[in-house]
Amino acid sequence: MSVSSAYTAAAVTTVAPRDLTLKQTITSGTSVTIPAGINWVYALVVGGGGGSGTGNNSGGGGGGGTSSGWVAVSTSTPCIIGGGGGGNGQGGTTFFSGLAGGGGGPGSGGTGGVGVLGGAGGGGGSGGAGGAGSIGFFGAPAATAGNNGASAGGNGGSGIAGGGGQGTGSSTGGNGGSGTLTGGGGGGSNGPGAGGSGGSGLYGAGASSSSSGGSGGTGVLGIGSANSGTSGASGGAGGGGGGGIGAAGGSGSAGGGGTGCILLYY
Amino acid sequence: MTVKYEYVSACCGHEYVEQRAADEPMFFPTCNACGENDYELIKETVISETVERVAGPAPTEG
Repeated sequence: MSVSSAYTAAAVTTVAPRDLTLKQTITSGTSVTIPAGINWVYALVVGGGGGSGTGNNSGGGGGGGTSSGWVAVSTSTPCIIGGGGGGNGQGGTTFFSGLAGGGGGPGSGGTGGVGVLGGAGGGGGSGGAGGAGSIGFFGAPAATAGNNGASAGGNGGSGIAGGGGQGTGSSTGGNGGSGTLTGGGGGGSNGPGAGGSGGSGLYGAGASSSSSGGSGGTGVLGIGSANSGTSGASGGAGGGGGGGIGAAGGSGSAGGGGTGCILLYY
Repeated sequence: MTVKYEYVSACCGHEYVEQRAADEPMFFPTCNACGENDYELIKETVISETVERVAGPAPTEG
């Protein structure tokens, strides 16, 4: 099984907390170098987006969970970056100096998977329920679950992290849920309708789908890929959920979730 | 490969770092302080030969 992993970068500068600027963006590695004299930073921590299901007309992955706040740092501060989920895979959890952002739940051809630590639930397949959202690192509110629709695929729920859209065998795939920070992936369609659009995130709307596969959700670092075939499209970097597979026959591949990240402001 | 890229903007001298996989695009190319110009790369350092990210739990059937 192959998983698409091309990202589209967000063509905008970041929105920073007041009186601070974005100084570092981390998507790989096990430690972060902080200049001497900087003892506290404001960090936004984002888990990896969930991957879509691997079955026909599968649901999209949920957006990655997030947490943010002031944290103490040293000149070499350890970190863990959560990767995006592959097919049927939950996103990994990102850690930095006491903060954690959990992974989005995977989409599925059956029942969608759950997210962790703020990660949204993945969308279910045709007739399958969406996965439950999870309680965030700082407690309530929970991220939203991927929704369960009736004839057309249900749209993912909205919240800090958007849930994955539902896949459907007979109609249009559900759209990914729009998140304040990370969006869910659209569901795939096996019927005459198109796959679902990716959910919007911090830096823009999710891409729409022109084919049976679902588009990827937008993450904190980039817009999810637009879908143009039967495969699910990739979620945007920074926790976007992957889009679900469309047409029957098993010819499409799953949409991978966007990788997690750490943004440091000081 | 994980690489640390260090940038500075010509417009206001804002210093900015991205630590990412070598094959990933720059995420925020425009100055995050004033938004006037793109950053210029001033230094890149290979952190490791691998891309370190943790995966979520193993996939289940579905």
